Amino acid sequence: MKLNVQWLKDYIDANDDIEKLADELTMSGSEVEEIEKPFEKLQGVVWARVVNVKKHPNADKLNVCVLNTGEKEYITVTSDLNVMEGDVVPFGPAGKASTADGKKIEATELRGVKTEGMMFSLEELGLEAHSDGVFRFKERVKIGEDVKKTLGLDLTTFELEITPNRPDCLSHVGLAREVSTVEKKPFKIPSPSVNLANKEEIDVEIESSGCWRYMAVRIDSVKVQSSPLWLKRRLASVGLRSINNIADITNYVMMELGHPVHAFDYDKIPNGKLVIRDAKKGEKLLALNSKEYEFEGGEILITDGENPLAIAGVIGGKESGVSLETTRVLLEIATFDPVKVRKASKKLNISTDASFRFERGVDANDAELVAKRLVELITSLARGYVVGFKDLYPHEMNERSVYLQKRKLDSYVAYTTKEEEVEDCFTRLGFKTEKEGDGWNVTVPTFRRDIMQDVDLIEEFARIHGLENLPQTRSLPFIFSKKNEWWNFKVKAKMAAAALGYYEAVTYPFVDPKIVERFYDVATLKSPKLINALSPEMSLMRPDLVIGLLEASAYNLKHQQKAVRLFEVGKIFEEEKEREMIAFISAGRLNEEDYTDKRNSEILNVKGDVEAFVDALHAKVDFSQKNIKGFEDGRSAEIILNGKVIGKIGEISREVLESLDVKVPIHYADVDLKSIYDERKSVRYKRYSQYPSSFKDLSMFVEKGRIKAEEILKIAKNSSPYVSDVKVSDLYRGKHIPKSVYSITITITYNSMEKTLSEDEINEAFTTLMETLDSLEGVTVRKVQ
Amino acid sequence: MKNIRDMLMESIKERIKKLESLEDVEKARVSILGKKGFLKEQFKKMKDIPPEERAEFGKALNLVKEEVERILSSKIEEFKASQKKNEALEKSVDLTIPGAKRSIGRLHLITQMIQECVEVFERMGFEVVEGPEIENTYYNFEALNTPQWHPARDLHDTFYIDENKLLRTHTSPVQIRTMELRRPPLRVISPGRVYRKDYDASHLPAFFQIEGLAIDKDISIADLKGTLENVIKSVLGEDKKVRFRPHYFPFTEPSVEVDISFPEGKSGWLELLGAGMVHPNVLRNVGLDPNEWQGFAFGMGIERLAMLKYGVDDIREFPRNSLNFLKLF
Repeated sequence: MKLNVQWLKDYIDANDDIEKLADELTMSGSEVEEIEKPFEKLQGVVWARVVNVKKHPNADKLNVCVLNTGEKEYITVTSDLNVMEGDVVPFGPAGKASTADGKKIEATELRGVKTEGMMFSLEELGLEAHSDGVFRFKERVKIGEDVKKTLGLDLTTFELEITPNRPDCLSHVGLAREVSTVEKKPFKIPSPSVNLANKEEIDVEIESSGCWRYMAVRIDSVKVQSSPLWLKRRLASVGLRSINNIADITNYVMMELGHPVHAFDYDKIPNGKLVIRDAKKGEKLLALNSKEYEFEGGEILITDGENPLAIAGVIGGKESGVSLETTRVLLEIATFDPVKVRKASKKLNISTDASFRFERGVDANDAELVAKRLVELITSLARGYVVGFKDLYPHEMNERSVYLQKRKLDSYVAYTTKEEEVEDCFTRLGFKTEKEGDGWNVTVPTFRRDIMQDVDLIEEFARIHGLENLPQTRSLPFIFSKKNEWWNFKVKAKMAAAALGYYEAVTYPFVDPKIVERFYDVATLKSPKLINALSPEMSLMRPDLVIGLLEASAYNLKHQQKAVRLFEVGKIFEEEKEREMIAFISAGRLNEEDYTDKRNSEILNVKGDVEAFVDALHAKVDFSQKNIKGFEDGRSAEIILNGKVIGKIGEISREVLESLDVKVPIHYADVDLKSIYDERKSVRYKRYSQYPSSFKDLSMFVEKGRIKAEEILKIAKNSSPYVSDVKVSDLYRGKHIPKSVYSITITITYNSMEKTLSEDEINEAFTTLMETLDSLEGVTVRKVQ
Repeated sequence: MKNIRDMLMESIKERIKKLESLEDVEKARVSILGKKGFLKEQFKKMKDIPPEERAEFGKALNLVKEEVERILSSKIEEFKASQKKNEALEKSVDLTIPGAKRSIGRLHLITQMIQECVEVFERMGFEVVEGPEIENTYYNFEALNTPQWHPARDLHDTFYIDENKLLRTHTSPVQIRTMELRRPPLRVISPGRVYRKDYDASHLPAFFQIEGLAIDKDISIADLKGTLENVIKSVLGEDKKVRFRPHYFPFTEPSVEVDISFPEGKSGWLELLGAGMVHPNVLRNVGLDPNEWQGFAFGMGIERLAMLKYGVDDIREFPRNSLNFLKLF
């Protein structure tokens, strides 16, 4: 909502300090977002007298004019052949002036004649939607004076954010009322002395329940023409361009009183009859904006009994609108059901100043004032006289009475209010108070439909009293509160992941189905899709964290990062369920800034990180090798907890990497965090051996495909009651041994809770193990020593 | 006698002049003091010297021997010291060489900001609760006093899954879910991701909020003001000025917006969060009697808070996940 401060002063003697006035409005709930000078860009235009007009030597449709600004003479070329010697026009000298749109005036040459500036039209002055020619000013004016000064264009407006509950503030009178309440000054509403009684009946019928009041006024013998300057200026200042006097007056009254109205050309209404009814599906109307709308049914229409003439509360029809030929106008001052107007506006995807106000609620009881104000302005600016009148009011809007208990008010504002200050506040707002019991019955006028309950009155008191003037406590009443274990667990998990060298990423939960397709069969995927996504690339709720992390990794690799190690804790979306996962992704150097460690990421590093992570959270998982879509064959596994698959690990497939234009291997793992939380072991103290342990190393060649390391470790672990631990201490692959074979060294820890083990006991156990392993298919123990 | 000594010294001068290593010293010792060395040779010559000069010569020889021994041992000392010094240098490490740094990851700024808020609220007795990101329209709108054709829905451009399911536009549905499950008194906060169909230089389609709710018998606007000012000052600094401005939300009445003073000398105010007293209709929707219970609720944008606190000037840094950004915090 734009408020013209000078216009506001028609109704109230508001604070002259613009900043203070803005602050008053902001702090009472109508936030001033911007203090603007709407004609700020119009610069350097002065009044000039046309001293000479000649035909252009090279063009029939152009004239060459000489202009005098008092100080200097200028030459310009115009296509407006009506400009005559002696005319006074706005002139913008080249290099100095600019139009209301901010277009700079430059010296040019038109068909061989140099121009030293431009004569302005009302359009270029920002006062009219469209102009055909140069503006010729008919009043006495000082040549050389800035046109902004003469025309009063040096004005200030506020851009206000009016909240949806306050349609009454969508007008100058409404805001004057707010200022009057805050500044404790009187304000005046226009009181036109117009008589609407004893006029001809207008034929109006209401069939739609959504039409709450319909008042019609017919004015004959109007002259549709251009509006006077003051009207153009006011409309322009609030962002509306002038069209013609009738249209301008309807807009002016809307901006003044907040009630949108419509003007029909009475001669375009067959039989002069209006029927307000709900639309039938498939009906159509060509609207004022030259677009055709087809109705779904249920929209309120103004019809001639047969065909639609206007969409009630939204927009008029082109055919029945006022044009320069119009001589008889029919004015509509109506109130419609806000929900029905909003539905129509949403379904037809059309939002107008009228629909904006109607869907928030327009007072039905100001219809008479609005009608009279319209008549007053039209008869004075477009001549004409009132011929017909009709007022149908089937859905009466009554003042509401709301009871406010003083105890409740005091409890909300946290101090004991004085009765007088409360009553004074409501009186200033135009409410009537009547003491009853421990409180008041407050009667609220119909322009404040938002006041429905006691808390609404409390808000009125709080905002008018000033929120900053209310007390502020330093503590809340104490209550016992629990801690959220799951939340704390997630925080701990994130810390553990960071400690492992991974940086936390937070990626979008909606992903590109094209990338998802590389990991899942999208056809059978149950993840929800957005029906109104921003783009196809952001249309699927992620079934997996891999998509976002892959994109983040690709981004970082492309931006020359040498080590990309990221993790994310986030939800994945299944048909009806949201699961919180943690995922790790790793590419490039493991420790970029550790020059003693030149290793690059490998799948076994990420596996180790997952194990360390799960360990830190006191759980234990297993890995079960399996080929997974989107990962390299033979380099992926499922992660299993208590027999349930809770995650996966693998090296991203070459095809996926190519599609992302990534050149280095990327390793990925994810785990269902909630499952780990649910299955985490309670932490208890456990005794450990107080006697020295012995460590024995055993190296062997293992043939892949014939036996799994897991089995070897298991055999070692169970080989003797003295084995307390088995660890891999070396792994060798590569030169000197076939690619299908790896060499592994395990370190076995022997100890006992009761004694120091003797050399013989250890050697016996170790020798047995060595023989067992050597006899296994695919295992060759390396004889050392 | 002096002459004899000088003479002898003169003749061995060459041998003790160029002593550059312990080996040289050893060589010099052997050649001067050794069994077949110079001085032994001289002693052997004693018998040829006239007896009256013999004593003097012997004395001179002894003096020379002592002097040579002294020179050599001081050389040995000198070389040993220098060798020791050399060894120490060799085994030293130049600790101005940057360390072989291991990487510790960092938490995303969003997580850090949320955790900072959570810690402040927990000290005030608030407990963390969470809710789903895919919501029913009921929880996102209707239960929060925002029926279908309410103009306030314009403030929430919504992503829909279907007619009844949407991506929550705020964390406020968690208020409803909490109050449905638990009776007051309540102090809860709910951090989480929310969605709006709005994407430009200053808006993300998915961002984070932290919701708060306090319900009790006598919670007042004064409590709301005090709590929020405490939180804002704890998180953003005691020097910040806070102002409460009337506003409108369908689910609170009275409603306020909270502004804070611009950082570093700039004048004016910056909108930070929305809050208000829980609307009686909302309480009724969860079966609470508004004449018995009342309280406040608020919702605060995490990105906005982080941008203010750390001077991040591009909101798109948050979803970009550039390591250059992640390593800053």
